[in-house]
Order: sequence, then structure tokens, then C-alpha cells
Amino acid sequence: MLPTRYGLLFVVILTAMLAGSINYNNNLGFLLVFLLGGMAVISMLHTHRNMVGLKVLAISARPVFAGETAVFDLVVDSETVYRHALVFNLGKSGKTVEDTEPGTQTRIPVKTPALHRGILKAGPLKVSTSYPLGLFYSWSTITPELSCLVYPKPIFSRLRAEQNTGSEAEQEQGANSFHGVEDFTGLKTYQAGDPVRHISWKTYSRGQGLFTKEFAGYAGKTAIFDYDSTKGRDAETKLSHLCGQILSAAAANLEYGLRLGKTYIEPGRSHEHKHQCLKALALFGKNSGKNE
Amino acid sequence: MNEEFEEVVRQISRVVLGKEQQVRLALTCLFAGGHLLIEDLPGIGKTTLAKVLAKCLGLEFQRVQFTSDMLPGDILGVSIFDQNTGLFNFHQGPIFTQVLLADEINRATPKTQSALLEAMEEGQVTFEGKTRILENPFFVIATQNPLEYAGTFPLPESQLDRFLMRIEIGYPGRSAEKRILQGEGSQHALEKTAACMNDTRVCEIQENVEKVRTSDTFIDYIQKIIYFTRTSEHFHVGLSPRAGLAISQAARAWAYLQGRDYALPEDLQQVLPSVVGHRLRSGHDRTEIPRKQLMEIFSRISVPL
Amino acid sequence: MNEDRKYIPALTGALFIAILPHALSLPVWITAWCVLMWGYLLASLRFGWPRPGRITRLLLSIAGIAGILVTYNTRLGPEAYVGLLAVMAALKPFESSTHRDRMITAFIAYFIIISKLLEAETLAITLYMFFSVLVTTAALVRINDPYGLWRKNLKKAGTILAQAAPVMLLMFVLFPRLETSLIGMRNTGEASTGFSDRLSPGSISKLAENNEIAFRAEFEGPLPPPNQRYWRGIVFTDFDGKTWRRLKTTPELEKPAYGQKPVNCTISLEPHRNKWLFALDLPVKAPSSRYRLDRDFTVRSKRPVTRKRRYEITSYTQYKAFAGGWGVEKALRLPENTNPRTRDLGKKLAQEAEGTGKIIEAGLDYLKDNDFAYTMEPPLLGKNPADEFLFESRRGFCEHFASAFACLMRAAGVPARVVGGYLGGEINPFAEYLIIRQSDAHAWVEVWDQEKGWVRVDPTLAAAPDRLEQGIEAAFPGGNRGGGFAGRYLEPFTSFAGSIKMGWDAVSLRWEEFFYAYSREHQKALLKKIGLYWKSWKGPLAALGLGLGLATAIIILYGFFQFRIPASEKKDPVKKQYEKFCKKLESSGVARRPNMGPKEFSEYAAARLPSKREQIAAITDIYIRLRYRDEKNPGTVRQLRTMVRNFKPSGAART
Repeated sequence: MLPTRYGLLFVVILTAMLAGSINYNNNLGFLLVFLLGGMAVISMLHTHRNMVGLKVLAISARPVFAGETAVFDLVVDSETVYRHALVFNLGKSGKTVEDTEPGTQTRIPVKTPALHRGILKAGPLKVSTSYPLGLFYSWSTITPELSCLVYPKPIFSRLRAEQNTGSEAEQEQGANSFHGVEDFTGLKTYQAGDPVRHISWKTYSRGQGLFTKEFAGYAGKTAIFDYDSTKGRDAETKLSHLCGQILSAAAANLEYGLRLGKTYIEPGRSHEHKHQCLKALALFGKNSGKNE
Repeated sequence: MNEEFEEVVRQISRVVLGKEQQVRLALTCLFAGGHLLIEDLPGIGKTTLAKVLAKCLGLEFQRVQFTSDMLPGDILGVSIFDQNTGLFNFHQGPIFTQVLLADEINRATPKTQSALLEAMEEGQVTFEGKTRILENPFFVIATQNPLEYAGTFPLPESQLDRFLMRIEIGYPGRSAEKRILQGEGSQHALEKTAACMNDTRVCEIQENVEKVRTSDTFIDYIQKIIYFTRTSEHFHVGLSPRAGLAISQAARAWAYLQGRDYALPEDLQQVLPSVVGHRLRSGHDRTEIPRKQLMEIFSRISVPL
Repeated sequence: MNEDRKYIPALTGALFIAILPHALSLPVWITAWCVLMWGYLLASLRFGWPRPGRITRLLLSIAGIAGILVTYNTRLGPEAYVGLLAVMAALKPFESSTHRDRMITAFIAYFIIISKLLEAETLAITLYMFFSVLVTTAALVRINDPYGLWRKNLKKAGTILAQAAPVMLLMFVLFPRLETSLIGMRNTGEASTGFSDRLSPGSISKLAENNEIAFRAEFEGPLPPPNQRYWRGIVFTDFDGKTWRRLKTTPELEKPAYGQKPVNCTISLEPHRNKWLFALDLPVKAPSSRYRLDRDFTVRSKRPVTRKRRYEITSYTQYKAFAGGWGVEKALRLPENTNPRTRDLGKKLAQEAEGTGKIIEAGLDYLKDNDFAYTMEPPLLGKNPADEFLFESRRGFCEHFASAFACLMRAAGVPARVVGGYLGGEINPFAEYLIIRQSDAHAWVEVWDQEKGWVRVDPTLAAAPDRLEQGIEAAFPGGNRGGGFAGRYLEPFTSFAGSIKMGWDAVSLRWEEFFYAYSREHQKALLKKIGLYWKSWKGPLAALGLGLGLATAIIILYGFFQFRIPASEKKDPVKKQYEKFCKKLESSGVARRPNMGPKEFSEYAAARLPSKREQIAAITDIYIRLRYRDEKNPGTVRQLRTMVRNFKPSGAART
């Protein structure tokens, strides 16, 4: 509990007022000075009360991509007091001002920028308040154990099969891209190995050449994204490309796996699987194994 | 440790090999006065567990194999016209027993399911305007095959809530499996099992479980967990107050099985995944959360000192 | 914009309320300036008008300050200071986009509040001060509480105010007071009110229209009868034929007058910026060392009365005032070439009557017999006012009667002087004290009698005897003063309003009695009563120490009752001990994971520190007993403490 700079200014003002009252021997002036002084002191108790007993029950953060803003969700138990204007400060940035109501758990999002991939340690969390009069400042700092996972910043490039194709069958087909079967998207010149039933016989019969019907939709296909065969200037760019590919694959409901150096993640398509892959990317090369 | 229970656990473990934890959880559920849902593959020993449990505790046992053409009356009972007397006679269904094994409950139509679940919840059956009280103790063990979806009616989340616990039995361990293959724990062992208790004792224990002390600190811990589920991203919807009560009840029963008259955070941790597993859905895709992951999530909640 | 909408009305409101009591005393242009600025500001919030930019604000500030300099003409007294505050306050809300600006604005409001207090100290202003402080504090709470509702802010401010009140009272009572001010008194810019040091025809009748209160008088015991309610203020001895003046120098009275029937009276005098004080005729001695009693039996303050004064004074209603014959000679002086007819009449009276008493009687008879009329609107008098009044117009107000009569007496060889003061007063029915207004101003005559000393003679009564009995209102028959047709019809209302006014006045006086008069002497007496001796400089220091001590005690008590921390929080000894236990284990390499229950941790720790197994188990057991079995035995807590203290898990843990 310390006075704020306004608190100090207030003391200066009160001193001036007191000097005036003494000078004029003005009882009413004394009365006001003592009233204001008393209020300042009482406000200290109120400030204290606004803080004391506050519990931070849980902190959680859902993973974000590098360059986004990480949101740490604090769950705060206000106990029996209505708390006004609590300021939640995470690290140097990310300030949130919230009221909390008695008897409920308030969820408070505290934002902080996630600049780099990896694990963003939630810096010291400072909860402070200068309610009600702004003359005193009460704070408490906790260092939450939780951290936020930061995936690499995705770079979206065209999903290409050079990465690696998954199953044997796929490789046999020699597909260059992910051929779907659902939506007809156009024709392309026939290449050896294209499925016979996709050959556009209509165009062939017109003597226009041999074309293959192309379909979009990747369902049922499997891709393995491999770090070593991903293009990119440096490791970070590669990871970003991989990240983008995973996201695209997930969006297309494609089954995909990931090979990242020694780590190999079996193909899958669930949400958890996506998270697992992205997590592997996020932690790649960063005290690996320790935090997983 | 409570010797009485250790004996029960030992008896049952002789039949259901290598599944001591599941046996304990099943007993906990029974003594907490709740109902049990076992979700596992066929041939894992669900039925055996139910049978041996009933037998060991000296309780009456009935088994109903649920099918899609089953009607509520097939479980609750029917009134049949007696031509000799000219009156309708009520023929009790299999529900009037102490331990009911509802096999493959998800095969029955929702109507039949809810008839059973309502009876479970209320402990009575109202049939043609007449209310009939069910046995006491009354313990339902329902089983579900999680992999078979064709032609089933999975229990909705709201109905799942009526089961205090849901457990998976899982494959036996290597040594246990060997013993099974060697013929141990067979039908023979089941027949050899002697009753260690009777229904009065079970009721008595159920009453004693109610008296297990839950201190403020313990309740704080439960609250902390509940609030965590309500606010965390991991879960689609948080736990209801009923789920909170269920946690408390199960933890108390577990504590009692440990021979204590007060509940510790450890008790809660032991039963927690079984109690909340079927009540929570993942916040990402609303699927069920694997037990292991659930435990990992809950391990982040610190125990209040 | 949104923030502005939340904070600006609150801050503007606080400033407005703070400045409102100044509104009348401020130059009109400043009041208009404030209204204009705030009006524009609020309208701009409402209708989205453009807000002045930085440069405009700067120009406006310069304009305002220039205006102040012009108005107050570089006389930088308190008025200029208030004016400057007002000008700044009018502009400040425009500049309130940051928290800093808003805080400063609120502080300015507090400053404005105190500036009014230094100027006027009435009960109304005191009550208004609390209101104003409440509003300003609510505004302060508001700017520190972005989500709060106005009503809640107000409530919070009220709570803080109420809780601070005991501290305020305590400090007020105990804070050491000085007898005099540090740097000279405020300069008296305002004109004096009431009497001046000269009396010429018309100077009192001008006052008669003034309904302001001159002073209030409370009596110990019953009120004196109406014919004794002469409030003596100034004695005019010097006469130039037209105007009466006070003597430049009057020595202090050496020997008090001889008299009977003393009356003790406490007078609360409104400031009139002159040095004279009023007392019931005839004061015995000066109330304190701040005052002196002169040989003309008037009480004088050593400093001009610029603030309300309250003094206790004893008077004799029956007296013989000699003052060693001082001033008798001067009371005979009559300029030769003025008022010839009066002088002739005086000589005639002196020849006809024998002895001072008879001469006075003859003089009064002359006034009674010749149709003299008492009026508020006397005709203007010329060069020889006594002559014109006595022989021509015969219509006049008390100063006409008094000055003409004194002149007549001097002509007759009787030493006479005019006394200025008040006559009568209104009785406040609620508290039995007299309210004396400027309209009660009066002038009468004192004549010298060899045997009786100075004797009071009121020539006005010769023409208007009602003046004495029923006050000034009754002295004028209907319609002459105030209330005509409307007045009669509104009578019930005015009388009701009048009684409210009287009640308020009584409350004010009671309040002043305690509050206003609270001074170093009162403080001294009070502290002596509670056993703190007031010796040299130690007294005030002790008082201050006591004040601060008591204030702290009050605050601590508040803290105890109001903000008690729940027992399960912070100070829970069991938690503290267990944490200590965990910390000890942690320092020897066995850290408790947060999700570990006590039993689990005990086993975990015992496995790593097998040598301490028993101790760990025992501590855990006690902890579980206290925590999970609800054992409430303080002995067990002590036992836990001892065990934790003796627990020394030295040496590295086996991993």
C-alpha cells in the first residue's frame, strides 16, 4: 500500500489548505482539512479492502499463433466483496480493468502480445487497485505457473503433395496433388497414373485430347508433412509453412501427419491431433521434451 | 483400511482378475448410493463384475439384455388380465431387484431408456396410477459398447448425468490375462464366491457414508474444480451443482472404503475422472475427453491448504 | 468520447456546486464565463459539437487570466485568487482526457470549496461544504471507478465521508490553535457595514432599510425589559454644527463605572470591518485582552472586526457613569455661527429652568408639544440642520432628534453627546435571544449631570413612544414601511416563513456557540479537563500527538470491524504452518506438487526422506486432523506449530 502520485499531490494540497486555515485561524477551514485528511486515510482502508481476500482461482490460455495476442483468462473469486476497478497487469503490457461481483467467479481476460513461437510464460501478474479515491495504491503480484502455447505464425502456401504422400496406395497413384472426388473443379491434361474412371471421355470423344476430370475435396487422403522437405530460408520460416499447411489440411478435413526431425506424429484429423501437431511445431527446438 | 471391504475386494478380485481399481470404484459407487455405467468392449468382464458384486454383497441380482424392440413394460412390469379372477394382476418386471444389470442399454429405444432412468432416479415405479417402491438398496449397473453405433440410441448427456460414475474396465494386464487364460477367475470361481454381506449391511454402510465428514477445505477444493470446469477452455460446458454433489458423495464413499470418517483430497482425486468423465465434453469439438487427458487437466488445480 | 461522457458531467457538476456559493461575490463576467464554458461543454457532449483544441484552450486561459488582472487590477488578494480559480475551473473540464487531468480537476474543486470557507463561516456554508465535498468526492470515486454507477459512487463517497467524520472531529478538537495569525490578516477589500464614525442626518435612516443582522445577543437569565435594550456602540462628541464625529483619541477607562443589576450577555457580532463593538448600555469591562473599554464607555477591538466575533460582556442596567469627568468639557462645544435659533432656544431653556434635570425635561417637552413627527423620509436639511429640524420641518428620524436635542442641550449649557447604537431587537422565540438588525440602528443622547454622571436621554421617544415598546416596525403606522396590499394577504405565509427563519437562526447560533467560538482558550480548558496540561509548547504537541493517536486508534478499530479478513484467509495458522512445513521439505529437495493431497505428499516425502518418515507422518496426521476432521482445538494447532518448528529435514533427499 503506497500513496499514488495523486496521493502525494493531495498531501501537498492539504498542507497548503492547513496553512491557510492556521493563518486565518479559520475553524471551518480546519474542519475541511481534517475531513479531507480523514477521508484520505479512510480511503486507504477501502483500497485495502478492495484487494484483500481476492483469489485468483485459475489461469488458462488457449494457444495462439505467433504475432497474435495471447489471452490469459483469469478466474477470480471475489469472495463477499464487490470489488471495483481492479487492474490486472500481465508483464509489461496487457492491462485489464474489471469489477468483480461478490459470490461469483469472474472471468477476466488479460491480453499480452505473443511475439514468438514456443511457450509464452505468463509474466508476473500484478493485480492492483487505487479505488475509491485514487490516492492510494494497493497491489499484489503473483507469478502464475501457467503459460501459453504459441504456435508458429502460419504461412499459407498451396497445399502440395511433394511434402510426402501418406499411404502406399497414394504413392502408387502418383498423384501430384490431392485429388478429391466430391466436387468437379475442372479438367487437366491426362497424366499417366490418373484414375481411368476420371478420364473425361466426353472431351476425348470430341477429339480434344485426353483430359482428366479434377475434383476438389481432400477427404480420405493422407498427407505427411515433413520438416526436412519443407522449403524455407530458415527453421522459423519452415515451421511457419508447416503450420500453414497443417491448418489448411485441417480446414479441408484431411488426414495428415507430421514428421519433425526425430518426432513423428501419426496421421489423424481430430482437433486434438491438430493441437498436437501445432504444439510439436511450437516447441520444436525449444528445450524439447521438457515441457511436453 | 477397512477390513470388511478388503475382504469384499479380495473376493471379487478372485473372479475379476487384475481390475482392483475398477472393483473399488464400482463398490464406491454402490455405497455412495449411485448407479454405475460401464462402458467397454464386449467380453471384457462387465457382466461378471456385476454378477460377482451382487453375489459377494449378498444382493438379489437380475439381468436385462436391452434390445431395440424392448418396451418399458419389459423392465418395469406389466398388468396381465387373469381370466380366473377377472382382475388385472401386476407382474413385476426385472427392475424389482437389488442389483440390476442393464446390458447394452444403448440398444433400447429412448422411451425404454428413460423409463429405466426415471425409475433409477426416483427409486419407485409408477405404473397405471400405482406407485411401487423399488428395493433398497437398488443398484443399476448399465453397460454400453462405445464402439458399436449402428442401431443404437446413445444416452443423451442429460441422462448420463443420472449415473454417479462411469468406468471403463479395459483389457486385463499381461499377468492377469495369463491367469485368465489359465482358467482362473472362471465361472467356477464365481460360483465359489460366498456372500460377505447382506442388504441390511449395505444400507447401513450407505447411511454411514452420508456421515463422512467433508471439511470446509475439502469443499473449497470441490468448488475450485467445479469453477475450473465452468471457466476453462478445455470444456464445452462446466459441471452442474448436481455433479458437484456427485463428486462429494463419491469421494465420501471412497474415504469410507479407506476406513476413514473424513474425506481427503486424495479420495476426490481417485474418483474424480469416473464421476465427471461422462459429464464433460471437450471445449474444442464436444467429444468426450479421454480419461488420461482429463486427469492431466485436473492435476493443474492445486489443493487448497 | 465515451469516457468523456462518463466523467465530464460528474466533474463539471462538482465544480459547479463548489463554485455556486461564490457566484454572487464573483464579478459578473466570471460567473457568465463559467456558465458559458460549462454549458458549451455539456452541450458538446450531447450534440457532438467540436471541442476546443489545445491552442484555443491556451488562448482562453490567457484571456481569462487577463480578465482577472484587469478586474482585480493586480491587487492579488483572496478575491483575485477565487476569481482565478473560477476561471481555471471553467476551462479545466475541457482538458480531461487523461486520468491525471481528471484528478487535478477534482482537486481544484476541493480548493474552491476551502476558498469559500475562508471567506464566510456560517452554518449554511458549513452544511453546504459537506454537500459539496460529497459531490466532489463522488466525482473523484467516479474517475477511479470506470464501471461504477453514479448512485454507487455517491454512496461510496458518503460512506467514506461518514467514516472520516470522527477523525475530523477529533482532529478539530485537538489540533493546536494559535492565538493570532501567522501572516497578517486578510486585507479588507469590502466596504464596512453599519455605523460609520460620523453621524449626520440621514446616516441612520439609510440603515433602517437594511435588514441584515448586526449581532445576536444571548442573556444569562431573563431578557432585560425593552426600555433597557440600548446597545451602545459609538459615542459622538465632536460637533461642527452639522455632523457629529467620534473623538480621535479616547483614553482607556481607568475605573469601571459604578452600577447595579449586572446583566451578562454573549454577543455574536457580524463582521462590520470597524473596530467598535456593541454592548448593552452600560458595559463594565472589556471582554478580553483583545478589546478595551474606553472612557466614553464604548468597547473597542484592537483589530477591525473582519470576521464574526463572539464575546461575553457584563453590563449594568443601573449605573452612575462618571469616568472621572472625562469628556465633559468637549461635550459643551458648539460652533458659534451655526444653528442660531437652537442656541437661542437653549439659552431660553437655561434661563427658565433650574438645574440640569429641569432643562432636559423642558427640552423634551418642547419636542412633545410641537407636533414633531417620526418618519423614515425626512425632508433634506440644509446648513443648520438643528434649526431647520426644530423650527421648520419638525419631521425626522432618530438621528435628527438626537443630534438636534444634543445641540439644544449644549446651547443650554448642559454637556451632551450623541450615542450611536441599536435599540431593541427581535426576540427569537425558539431560543430566547435577541436578534439585532441594522434596521434597529438608533441614536440617542447622553447628558452630564453633576450627581448622576452621564445620563441617557432618548429624544426620539418624545415624538414616537412606540419605537421603544414595539420596535421600529410599529413606529411607523401602516403602509409607511413595506407591506401594502400584498403584504396583508401574504401575511400567513410570511409569518410561516418567518418562523422557519427564526428556527434556523437559532440553530445557527447554537452551532456558532460551539463551533465558531472554539478557540485556543476552549481547547485549553477542554484539554485540562481530560488531564492534559497546557504548558508552554508541550501542550499543543501533546494534543496533536493525542489527536493523531486517537485518529489512528479509530481507524484501526474501523479496520477491525469493517474490513475483518475472513478467518480462513491469510491468517489461518494451520495453513501457515503447513506451508512452512512444505517449504522446509522443498528446501531439502522434496517439493510438493500443487495437486498433491496431504496424504499423498506425506508418502511422497517419506519415500524421499526415509529418515524423517515418522515426523512427516505425524505432522501430516495433525494437519489432516485440523483441516479435514474439523478439529478445533487450539492445543493441536500449537502442537502442529511446535512440530513444524522442530522439523529439520536437513540433507539432500534421496531421489
